[in-house]
Amino acid sequence: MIMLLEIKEMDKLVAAKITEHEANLNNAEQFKEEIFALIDNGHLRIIISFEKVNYVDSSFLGAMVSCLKHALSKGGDIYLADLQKDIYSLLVLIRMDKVFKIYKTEEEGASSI
Amino acid sequence: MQFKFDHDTDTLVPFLLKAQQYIQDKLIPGNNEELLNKCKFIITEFCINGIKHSGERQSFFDIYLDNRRLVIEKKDHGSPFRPKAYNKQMTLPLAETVDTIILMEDDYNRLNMQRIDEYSVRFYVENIHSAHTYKQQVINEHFGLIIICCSSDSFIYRHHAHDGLNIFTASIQLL
Repeated sequence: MIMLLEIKEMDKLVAAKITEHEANLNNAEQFKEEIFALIDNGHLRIIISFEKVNYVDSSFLGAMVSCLKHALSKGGDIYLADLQKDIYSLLVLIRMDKVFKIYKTEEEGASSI
Repeated sequence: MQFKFDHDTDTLVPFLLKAQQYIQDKLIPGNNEELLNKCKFIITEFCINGIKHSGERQSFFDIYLDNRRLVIEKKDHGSPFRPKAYNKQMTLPLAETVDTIILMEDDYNRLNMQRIDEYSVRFYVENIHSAHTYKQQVINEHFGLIIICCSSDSFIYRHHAHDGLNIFTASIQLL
């Protein structure tokens, strides 16, 4: 199976870049499985880069929240970065900008966390 | 204008682009990014709803202007909407005793369903101000209806009992 996430280990966290342009019903479950596996392997702080993503639907948002809950339950956290303007607008519209810590870029997140 | 959507995630993005293009070219010319984004969110979630819940192979979209409102309407003959409140499943027709019920609530949003008549309801969202800490936050994982509510000024579902037609109507007030 082709991995959805491109993983890069950094100093204090792991960066996971979504490799597809669409984050939707088709890959939400795979995303969840890959993030859960990272968390269960001890990578508790993960910054997810949406650099390549130009489309997100409710199924994928649900998977993101599920991952956040899993991380928080283990003492970790999930951060978001590189969101395109309309995806950020969607998060603000449904108040998910208050649920996730969002950084403009992966680098900004990595230096602030 | 009416658009047919085949219930397949692979056709969703091309469908979305076609509908957006129509809105931009024919209904609301000019640069209106915020409005177009809202249309994109509504159409996407109507499509996802069709794929996940209708049990049908296709649905039909009507997109039009009505006075100063942009209306996006999804129609199908699939399973009627079955509201669930606090794990209690309800079915249409809705009893007269039903008024407004909370379908979902977390630390950020409360999704309400208000009865209009036995076969139609209105959805709306209220903002919640959580008292929980970040680590204790209660967060819902179902966003479809919430996205449509937050992207529109009115969101109504109607079911025609005589022919099984389901109509989801979201409208946005134009300035």
